[in-house]
Amino acid sequence: MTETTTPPRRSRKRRIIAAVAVAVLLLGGIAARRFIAAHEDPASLPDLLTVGGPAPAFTATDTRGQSHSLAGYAGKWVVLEWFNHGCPYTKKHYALVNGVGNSQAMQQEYTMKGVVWLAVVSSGPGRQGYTSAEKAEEQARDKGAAPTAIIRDTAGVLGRQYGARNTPQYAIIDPQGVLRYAGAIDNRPSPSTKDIAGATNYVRAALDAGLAGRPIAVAQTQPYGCEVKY
Amino acid sequence: MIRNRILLAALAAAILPGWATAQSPPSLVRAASDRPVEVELRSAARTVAPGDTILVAIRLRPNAGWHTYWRHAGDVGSAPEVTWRLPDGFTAAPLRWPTPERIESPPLASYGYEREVHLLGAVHVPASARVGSIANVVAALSVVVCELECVAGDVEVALAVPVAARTIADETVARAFAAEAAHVPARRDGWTFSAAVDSTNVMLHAYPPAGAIAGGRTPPRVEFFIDSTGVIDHAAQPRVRTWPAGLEMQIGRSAYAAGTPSRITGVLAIDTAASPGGGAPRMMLEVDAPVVAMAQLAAVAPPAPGAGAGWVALATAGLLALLGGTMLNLMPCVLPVLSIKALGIAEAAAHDARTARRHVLLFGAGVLVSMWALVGVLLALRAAGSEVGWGYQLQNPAVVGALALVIFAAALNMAGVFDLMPVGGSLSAAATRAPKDVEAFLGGVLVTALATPCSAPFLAAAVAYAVTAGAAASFVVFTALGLGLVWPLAMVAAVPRLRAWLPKPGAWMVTLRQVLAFPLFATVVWLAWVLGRQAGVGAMVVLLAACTLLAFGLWALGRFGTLAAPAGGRRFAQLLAFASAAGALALVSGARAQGASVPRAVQAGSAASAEGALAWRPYSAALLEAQRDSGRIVLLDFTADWCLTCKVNERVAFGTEAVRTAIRDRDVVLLRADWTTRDPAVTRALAAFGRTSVPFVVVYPRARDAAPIVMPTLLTSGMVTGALDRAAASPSPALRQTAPASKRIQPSLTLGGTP
Repeated sequence: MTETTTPPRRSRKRRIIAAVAVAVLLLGGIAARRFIAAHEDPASLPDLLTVGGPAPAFTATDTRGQSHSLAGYAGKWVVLEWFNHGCPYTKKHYALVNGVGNSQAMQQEYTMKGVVWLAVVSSGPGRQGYTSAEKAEEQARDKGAAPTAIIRDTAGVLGRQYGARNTPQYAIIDPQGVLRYAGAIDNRPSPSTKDIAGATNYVRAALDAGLAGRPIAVAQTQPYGCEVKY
Repeated sequence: MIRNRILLAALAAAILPGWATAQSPPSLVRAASDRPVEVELRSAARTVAPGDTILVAIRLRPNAGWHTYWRHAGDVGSAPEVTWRLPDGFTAAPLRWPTPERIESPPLASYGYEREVHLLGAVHVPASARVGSIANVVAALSVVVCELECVAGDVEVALAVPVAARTIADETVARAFAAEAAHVPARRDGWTFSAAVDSTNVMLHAYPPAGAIAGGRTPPRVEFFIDSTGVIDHAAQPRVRTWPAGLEMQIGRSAYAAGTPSRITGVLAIDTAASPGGGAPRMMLEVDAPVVAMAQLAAVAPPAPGAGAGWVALATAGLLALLGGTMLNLMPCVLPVLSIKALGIAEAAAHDARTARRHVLLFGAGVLVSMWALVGVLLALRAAGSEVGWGYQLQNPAVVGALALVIFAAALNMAGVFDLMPVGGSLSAAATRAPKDVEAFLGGVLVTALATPCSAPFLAAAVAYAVTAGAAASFVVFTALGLGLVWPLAMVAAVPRLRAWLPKPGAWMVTLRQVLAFPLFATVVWLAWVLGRQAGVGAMVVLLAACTLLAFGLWALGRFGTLAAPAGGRRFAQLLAFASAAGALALVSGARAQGASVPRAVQAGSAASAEGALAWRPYSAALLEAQRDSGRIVLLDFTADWCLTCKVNERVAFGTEAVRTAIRDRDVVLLRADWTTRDPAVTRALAAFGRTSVPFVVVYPRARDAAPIVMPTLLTSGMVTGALDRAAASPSPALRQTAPASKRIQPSLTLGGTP
C-alpha cells in the first residue's frame, strides 16, 4: 500500500485529493441542507384539547377580585362558558323567549345541582366586549344571568388555554379534573332565537349524562358564533 | 368610519328595528343612524307578464369594514337566511350565491363579502296571475354582519311588481344583475372532481376539460370555499399543484373532523392567467366531489414533487444522489464485492490497462442498467397504483430468495468451488474475455442489487424525491446514484497513479478472495432469516434446499467443467449447473409472504428479547389516533427485518435500561410499523413524513397540538430519552395557528438497512 519513502509529488497529490474530497463533502452538505429546507413543509395541526384527558389547570380572577382555580373545585363539575355581551350569538341564548332565557335557565338549573358555572370574558383591553368589572356585573344582572362567577380573562390566558375561539363556547370538567365536553352550546349555528327550540343542546346533554354517571355521547363539537376578541 | 347613508328608491330597504347595535368599545362612538348593512330587494322587471319570471336579488351593502356571509360562513358568523313570502301560485327559485371572499382572522377564517353583493333569485309568476294585479314579493331575512364585532338582525324587504300584458325589463337593474351573475360559479361541462380525506389532509382533485388550464401551469391563485364545517381547516393555506390533466389542492384537515364525508361540495375559484395589472379572468366552479380512498386518488395524479419541482430541486437531488452513491461504496453490503472488483481491476490493469478500462465500463454499465431497470420497475409499480419505497424489492420473499441464491453462488465462486474462467487461463487470452466481460457486467448488477437496501445518508431525501417526482426526475436521480457508485472504480481504472496505490497482485489475492467469501455466506444467512420472517420456516428450508441444490450443480461445474476435464464431462457439468441453478430459482420463486394479518410486531425474536419486556403494538392509523387522543406519548418505530440499522437501533436505543425506564415512567405507547413485507398502510404513513425508507422513528408529544419529533436515523439511548422528555413537557395548548408538522429529512452519517 505505502512505501517507506514517499515521493513529495505523491503526497501533494494526496493532499489535493483530500482537499477535493472535503470540498465535495462540504458542498454536498450545503446542498443537502438546502434541499431539506426546501422540503420542509409546515402543516396545520389541530389546536384542540383532548376530551377525556386532564383539563388545563387554571387560576383566574372574577369581577369581584375573587380567585378561582380548577384545583380548588376538585370534586365538583365545572362549566366554562365563553361570553361576550355584545355578540349576537350570545344574545340569542340570553334573549327571553316566552319569558325564559336559554342560558339563564341552564345556569340556574345546574348551579342548583352543585355545578360551578364560570362565565369567561376573554376580550382584551380596547377590544370589543372588554368592560370594567362593574360594567360586566351590571350586564350580567341586565340579562338575569346566574353564573357562579364572571371571570375577567383580559389577558386571554384562560381562553387560549382552552382554545376558545367563539362566543358562546363551552368546556365541561368533571370532579376528577377531566375535560368531558368541549365545543358549541347546540347544533344550530345561527343568531336567531327561532333556532333554540328545536336544537340539540350539547351542554345540557353532557351535564345530564355526566351528573347521572352515564357516558357523554357527544363530547366534542365545533363551536360557532363570534370570534373571541383576544 | 362613520357615514350616513341616504336610502334611495321607492322600494328601499325596510330596516326593521330588529338591529341590535352591539356594545361598542368606549373608544368608538357610533351614530345611531349608521347601520352596519343595508338590505334591499331589487327586481329587474318593471312589469311582468303572467307565466313569466321576475329576476330578483337581495342586495346587501355593508358599511366599510363590515362584511356579510356566504351560504357557508366558515369559522365565524352565519349565512343569511331567506324566507320568501309570495302570492298564491308564485314560486321562488333557490338563491344563486356569488363566489365569496376569504375573510381571515387567524386562527380563524370565514367566507363572506366585504363588497356590496346581490344574492340572485328568481320568482316565477303563474300563468293564472291576473293582469293588472300587483305581485307583492317579500323576503324575510335573518342576517349577520361582522366587523370586529358582530351584529345580527331580522329584516323584511319587499317589492311590488305590476302584472301586465308583457314583461318590461329595468335595464339598469338587469345590467347590475348580469354583472353579479358573472361572479356566480357554474357547473361547467367537462370538469370532474374527486377528493380524499385522511387524518391530516383533505385532497381535492379537479380535472378540467382539455386545455382549460394552459399547459398545466399552476394558476396564480386557487381558492376553495367549502360548503361544510368540520372538514377542512378554513384558515389553512392550501397547497396547489397542477399537471396537464388536473389540479390538486391539499388542505389541512379541520381540528373538528368527525368521520369521513361521502362528498365534498363547495366552490373552486381559479385565476387562470395573471394578466399584468391584475384583473385575471377567474374560473368559478361548483364542486361536487365524491370522497374516494387516498390511494385511489394518488394513483390518478402524477406523483407530487417534493417542494419546488424545479431544476434546482432536481439538481440538488441529483447531487445528493451522486454523494449517496459514492458513500454506498463504503457500505458493508457493497464493500466486499467492490473490493474484489477493485483488486480484479488492479490485477487486470497490471497486465492490460485497456481490458481493465473495458471491465470498469462494463461494470458501470451493469450498475446503470440495473438502476434504470429499478426506475422502470418503480414507475411501473407506481403507475399500477401500488406504494413503493426504497428497499421494496426486499419486501418480496421470492426476490429475497433469488438474491440469496445469487449471493450464495458468488460466495461459492470466491471460495473457489468453481470458476467462471478456466483455471490457469492467461488473462490476455481471447478465450477468457467473454466470461470476464460478462462477469464485470453482472458484478455491476449484483452490486446494485446489494446496494439498494442500504439507506445511505442523504439517500433517503434524494430517493424520496425521485420516488415522488416524475419519471424524468427519477431517471436523473438514479443515474446519479449509479454514477456515484461507479466513479471511484472508474478512477482506479483510468488513472494509473491511483492504481499504484493498490497493492501488488500476488498469491495473497487468492487467500483474500476466499476469506471474503465468508461475509457473503453471512449475508446469505441474514437473507435466509429475512425470508423466514417473511414467509415462515418452510420457505427458509426451501431456500436452504435450493442452496444445496445450487451448490451441487456448481461443485459439479468446478470439478468437471474445467478445460482439463474431458469435453463430454464438461458439457454435462455445465448442463447440470444450469439445471440446478434453474431448479433452485424455481424452488424459491414459490415463496409467498405469509401472516400479513398476524401482528408480527410482538415476536420473541432476538430484537424483542434484547428490548426486554417492551410491549410493542403493531401500527395502525386508527390506533395511533386513538392513543394520541388519550393524551399519551406515542413512539412510532418504522422498521423492517431486512434493515440492519433498524435492528441496531432496536438493540442500542430501545434496549437500554434508561430508555426502558423512561418509557415505563412516561407511560409511552410503543407502536411498531413493520415494513418487512409490503404494507400499504405503513408505506402511506412513511410517505406522510416524506420518507421512503426505514429506519424512521417519530415521537408524538403528549399535547395534541405539538409537532411530532422526528428522530435521526441512527439512534442512541440518550436521544430517545431526550425526545421523550421533550414530548412529556406539555406545552401550553395555546390557540396556535399552525404548528409545523416537522418533515425534516435529517441526514446523518449512518449505516442504513444493509446486508
